[in-house]
Amino acid sequence: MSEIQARDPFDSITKGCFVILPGEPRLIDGTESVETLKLRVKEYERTWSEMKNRIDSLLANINKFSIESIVNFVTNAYNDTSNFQNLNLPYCELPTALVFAGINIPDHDVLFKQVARTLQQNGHAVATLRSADCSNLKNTIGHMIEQLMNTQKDYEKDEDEDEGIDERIVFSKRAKGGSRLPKYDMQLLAGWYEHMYQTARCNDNGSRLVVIIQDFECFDPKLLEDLVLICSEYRERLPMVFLIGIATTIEILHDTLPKSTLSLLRMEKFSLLQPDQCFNALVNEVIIEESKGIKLGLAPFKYLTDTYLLLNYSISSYVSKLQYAVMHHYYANPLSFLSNINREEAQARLYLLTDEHLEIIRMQTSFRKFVEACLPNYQEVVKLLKDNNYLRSLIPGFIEEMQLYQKKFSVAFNFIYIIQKSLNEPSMRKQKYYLYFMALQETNGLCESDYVKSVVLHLRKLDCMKLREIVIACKEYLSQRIDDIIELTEAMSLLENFAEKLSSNDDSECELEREQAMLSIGERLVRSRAKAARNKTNSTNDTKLSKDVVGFFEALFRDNLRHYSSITLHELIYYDTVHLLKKAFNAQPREALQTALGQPNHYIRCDCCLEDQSAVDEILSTQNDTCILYKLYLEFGRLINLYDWFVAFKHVLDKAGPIEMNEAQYPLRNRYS
Amino acid sequence: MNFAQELALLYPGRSSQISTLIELIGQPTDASPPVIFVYGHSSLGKTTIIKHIFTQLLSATHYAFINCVECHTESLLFEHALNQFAGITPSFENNFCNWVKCGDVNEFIVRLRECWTDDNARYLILDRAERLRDMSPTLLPALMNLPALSCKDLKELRYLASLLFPIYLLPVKEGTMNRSEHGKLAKNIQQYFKLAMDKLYLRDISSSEWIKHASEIENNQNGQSLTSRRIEVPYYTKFLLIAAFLASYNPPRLDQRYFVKSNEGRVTKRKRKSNKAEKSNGKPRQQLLGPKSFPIERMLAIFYSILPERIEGTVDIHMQVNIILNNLTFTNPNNVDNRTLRDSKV
Repeated sequence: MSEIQARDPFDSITKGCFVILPGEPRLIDGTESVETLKLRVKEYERTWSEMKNRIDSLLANINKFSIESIVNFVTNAYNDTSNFQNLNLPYCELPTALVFAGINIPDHDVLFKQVARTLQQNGHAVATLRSADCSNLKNTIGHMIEQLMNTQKDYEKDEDEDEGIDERIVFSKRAKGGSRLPKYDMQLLAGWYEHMYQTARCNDNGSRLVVIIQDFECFDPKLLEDLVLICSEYRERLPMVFLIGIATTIEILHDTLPKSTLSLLRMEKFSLLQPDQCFNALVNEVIIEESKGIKLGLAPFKYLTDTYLLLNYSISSYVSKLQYAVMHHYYANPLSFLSNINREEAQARLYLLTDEHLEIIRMQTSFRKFVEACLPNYQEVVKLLKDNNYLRSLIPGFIEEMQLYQKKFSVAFNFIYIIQKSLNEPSMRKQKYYLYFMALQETNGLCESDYVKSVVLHLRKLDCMKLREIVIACKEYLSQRIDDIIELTEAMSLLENFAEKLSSNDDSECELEREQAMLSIGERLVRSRAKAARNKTNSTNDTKLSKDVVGFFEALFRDNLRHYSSITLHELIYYDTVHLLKKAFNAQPREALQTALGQPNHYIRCDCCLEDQSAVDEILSTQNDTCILYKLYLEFGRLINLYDWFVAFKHVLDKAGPIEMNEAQYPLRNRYS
Repeated sequence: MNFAQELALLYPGRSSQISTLIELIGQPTDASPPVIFVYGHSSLGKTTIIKHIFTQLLSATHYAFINCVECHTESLLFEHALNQFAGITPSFENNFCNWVKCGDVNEFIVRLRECWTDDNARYLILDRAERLRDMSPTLLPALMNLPALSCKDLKELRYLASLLFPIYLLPVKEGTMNRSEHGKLAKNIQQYFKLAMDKLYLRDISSSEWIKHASEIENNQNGQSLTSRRIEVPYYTKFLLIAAFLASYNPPRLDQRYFVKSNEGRVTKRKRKSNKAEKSNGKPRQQLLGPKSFPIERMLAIFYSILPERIEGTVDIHMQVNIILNNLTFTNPNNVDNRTLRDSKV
């Protein structure tokens, strides 16, 4: 193989393969030490694998429930037939699971593979049919049978190798006598199934033959009709189960399949992966909560969110964009190896900081702000700017502060989320990603935004009952996180205090009402007067209490919801560039084609065309034939006379040197066509 | 001498065709093939023989003779046919009225059942049937399937009955009603009937789900929650769909007027005039003529012009177009913008 490849002349661009080895991407004008370079690579790998694991487990969890119910359905598909026997339905209904998988088709492959794998692990034979592989009935059934029998063989091999070999012998023997069944004959499948299960497994089989039709919309409806009909004929012998993936709604099914086919299916519906929920969970888990290593700044976060919500609903593309961002952060930021350190590692890494690194730190805008804040203390400023060792000793403090900021931020952020959810104001309700977007957007901190101000305002208007609910919810949330953030213990105790007071108030009121209900009318009147008086004192108590609670929340928000750019050295962690992402993921095929045809040297960089940079529009004879033709085409009007086009083409080529008409005509024509 | 031989004498050289036809028709109560296609060059006697056979063999209300040249619209065709089946001729006495007004196939089938009072077969004879091709494209297939459409599906009836019967029996088993209280029992089952026709017939809920949920469906709208019909589509894809709709229903020559943002007043005035002239010509509006196919470039151009903000034409948009092409064939036949999209690709 390698010899053949080596001999390949690579005479065409499309065939050739260009590998550009970048060497070691040392930053800081190539003076970066190898250690820090390797550390950055290591950090990238660590961060990304951690993130990837979280994403994977999250996605698996989101679909876990529906996949489990699909597996259950498949397993029990033929068990409850006893129910129907006394009903005696006129149709042989095939159990069919309709899987609504959402509009985002590119992600379906992964999804259905996951489903197929789970089904196989449960001992079912699975065949996945895609419309691309199934152009006619013959190869559809061929594919189906092949996959069903193969999966079972693999499954068999795991358990006992010998039996698998026996199978093959049986098949080959059969081949010698008589004519062999073609690969696409259903009898083959039926015979194989009976052999495998009725004899070997002594009737003990929970195993079904599952046919996954992944992209129902793209299938030829006639073909599906036939397939369903055939499979329902074999229903008595083969426990077939259909799994139909639908990207749109159930109407498509009624639209494409005729009534006679539909009546052969016993359909149950399962829906996977609602794009909204999925996205919310993902952003919450990976972007908002994740506090190690990289964080996305405003521009990349907005870009990622926009492409997901506006353009494609594709989780996989979201994840790959995220990976690209992480990669770029560690690749291009020389300080990124400091982003994720703990106390033990700090010292070792600080030694690796060279003078150049420290210079870069001094160049960061957040550092400048820090220095400006120190300005009254002149000595300190000089030290910061001149003394490398002093600066080095400060860095762990910066990083710790930043980590603390993130933790506190996330708590306060979640408080806002909890509060706005329990407010009785539909207009105030926001999705979490949108809240986060606001937090990134408000450079003065989320607390200063109109939104949070109005949240606080609404909070003031609430009665004690509501307030108590909110306080308890916040308390519960904080109690889960408190081990991580010891700094918020005080807030925790305050919350507990509030909760207690609020509930005691509440109880007394309830008791009053209960008492009142049991009294006679006369007494009630007397009591109600007394109650009114008591209520007065109560209400002043209440207002004071609620004022306290709101004041507490306000202070908490003000302290902890600062904008990330106010944190010194946030550049280590926050990734804030977006143009590279756009360049990498927003491919513009049309523009690229136009450039390639109009200015081929932009891509080819050949010597012959580079000479004259100024005249872009000039048609050079050295350019590719297609480019010449394209440029000529642009020069013509709406209609092109083919002969004129040809003559003009020849004229351009003649510029390089006259071509003898007789000699050149034939090859020229060839080139032209 | 039987009828076939008599006819053969009248129309020499056609004896085999005549006997075949008579065999196919058989007795009035016999089921005949759903479609009989009589083919031949002009003036070979097709119409004459058929007319003769039917007038002799069947009573007048058992067949309808339609000349497709005469009945050049769907409603004409259906109304003529129904008049003949119902035995009504528009005359002075009945104020020159049709038996009933009928515009489409569905209504035709309903009316057909109304006048179908006995077990005898009915024949719809379409003379000069080649003209049917010029009418609505759905008419010919519908007429071909007429027997299937008008006939009741025995299997379907059995299916529904077997699923509904246990529920019908339930009150008897529970002892709340007597076996002979048919009226009460029927009333009890009424609500399920509606549900069954809605959901079971379309297989919106499967038989197993039906068995599981029948008791629950009774008191709430569980059936609705079982079939939530919502489809979530990204923001720009919605605009793409709108653009596709606009491109398919608006004539291309009006594109500039509708979608180019800076317009000179004069041009629009003149165009409006021409538009008026068009209306007075009695031409139907473009939007009523149904979707037309269009080049994909046009759809994209409209897409970019209707968007509230400017975006770059990236590969994502093209991906979405692809997804729409492959998947979003909308179900409402009045709304088949995507079918036309597909046409444009071909």
